[in-house]
Amino acid sequence: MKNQTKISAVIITLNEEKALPAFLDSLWFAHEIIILDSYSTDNTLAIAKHNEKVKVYQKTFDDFSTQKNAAIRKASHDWIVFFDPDEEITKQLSKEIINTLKDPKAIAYYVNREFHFMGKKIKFSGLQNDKVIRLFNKKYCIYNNNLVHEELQTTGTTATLKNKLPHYTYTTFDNYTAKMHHYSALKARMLYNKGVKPKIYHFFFRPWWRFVNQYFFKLGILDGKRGLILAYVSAFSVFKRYVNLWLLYRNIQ
Amino acid sequence: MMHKSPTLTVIIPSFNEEGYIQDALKSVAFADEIILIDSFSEDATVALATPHVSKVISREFDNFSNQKNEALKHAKSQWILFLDADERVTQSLEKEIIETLQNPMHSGYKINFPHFYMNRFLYSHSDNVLRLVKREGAYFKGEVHEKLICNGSVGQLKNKMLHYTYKDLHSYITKKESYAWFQAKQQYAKGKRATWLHFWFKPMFRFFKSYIIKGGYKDGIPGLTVAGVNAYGVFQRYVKLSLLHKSME
Repeated sequence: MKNQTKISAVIITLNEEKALPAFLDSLWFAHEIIILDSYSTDNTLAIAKHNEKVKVYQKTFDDFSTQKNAAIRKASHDWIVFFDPDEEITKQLSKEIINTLKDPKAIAYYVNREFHFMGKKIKFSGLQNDKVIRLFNKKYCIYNNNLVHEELQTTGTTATLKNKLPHYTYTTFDNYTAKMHHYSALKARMLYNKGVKPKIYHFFFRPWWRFVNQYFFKLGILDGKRGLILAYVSAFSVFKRYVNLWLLYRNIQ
Repeated sequence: MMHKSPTLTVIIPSFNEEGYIQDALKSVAFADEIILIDSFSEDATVALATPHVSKVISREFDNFSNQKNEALKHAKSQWILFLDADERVTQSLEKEIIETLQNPMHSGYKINFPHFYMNRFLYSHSDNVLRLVKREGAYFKGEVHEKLICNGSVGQLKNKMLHYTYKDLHSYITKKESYAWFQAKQQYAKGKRATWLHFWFKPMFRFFKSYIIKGGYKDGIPGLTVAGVNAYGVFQRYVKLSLLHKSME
């Protein structure tokens, strides 16, 4: 461990008391853990402070990019691992991260996520290639300004890690749809800021297109009923996005 | 008015309605008696209502039927109107009620409630609900969806009741989502299973019914949203039914 590259693990949290204890354990390989919390009302902070590597900060949540960039600025080391508490950092993956950093060939590394939904792994539905950057050098990377589905922008070479990242976004169905509602509201806000006006085809065509694309073209049909449910929920969330946008222009909630 | 015994008692059940209660009371100021049946509100509801009502009853809430039946026992008039705090009697409805009660042909009257949605009233989606009844023989039954029963024939008033149900899109959708659990549990108790046919056709049919048959298309984007959210609620019912069979949430 002597000459190991120093790693800062960065997390943003809001009411993560359930996932946090195991998640913090899985960050054993980090030299410090930065938590930027958006004023959780559960035991998140108490759990976080239990771990001596953790430094906790708080900031009101505006959007994911702003929040993540603010969290990164608190890190003392250049190399950042930035996972979500609903992702499982397996032993193999953490070892691969340590080995990779002995001689890094890239400035940012993608991980392939495995999406779990209603108790089962989803193999299709457009999640075949769910790649996200989770390890990067902060000197060369910043989150773009997208309010949702923020992407890390890099100036340099990227690579992909071999080990997979199980992603357990599903706890309960209501929790899953609540997340989707949050996203659709944020996306509506993003379109509103860009001056996009809701058109009839947004309401009638876009949700259908999302459904057809995810269920047929991206083979959600091979994921059984779960594929259908996922496609339906995301189609609805597209529909809701434009309703939200319509409401924003009329100043109605 | 010219009657020997009071004509009309308005019964209003309440729980934390400080934002709504005053306007509701104003809209039924013409009644001879107003009874507020409150389930221990934690806000200013009771304080705000007290100067304008004949009686406040505080009662621990168990279900709507028991709550309203308790208030019925205290009512002195021949006729009862049940009003929720987020409902308003318009002046034309007030006039119609007064005229109707001078020479009633029925023992109960239904009132039309157009859905209030996204700051407008949807005329494609409305319900006729029995709300105005002769006190003798009237009572509520049913624990979840309470139903008003009256003794005799039922007529229909022409004027509409304003009902401010809509707070924001998010609470509207989450209300549907929790209602979907309720329906799924009912079907589960009956031993029903969610099949592919349910997933494919039930939501589509609900959309069609809401948007085309009921005429939701005439109400613009709000009408479309009601249809879309209704269909989504039906879809969720079957998702939740299959979750119950997997013992998942």
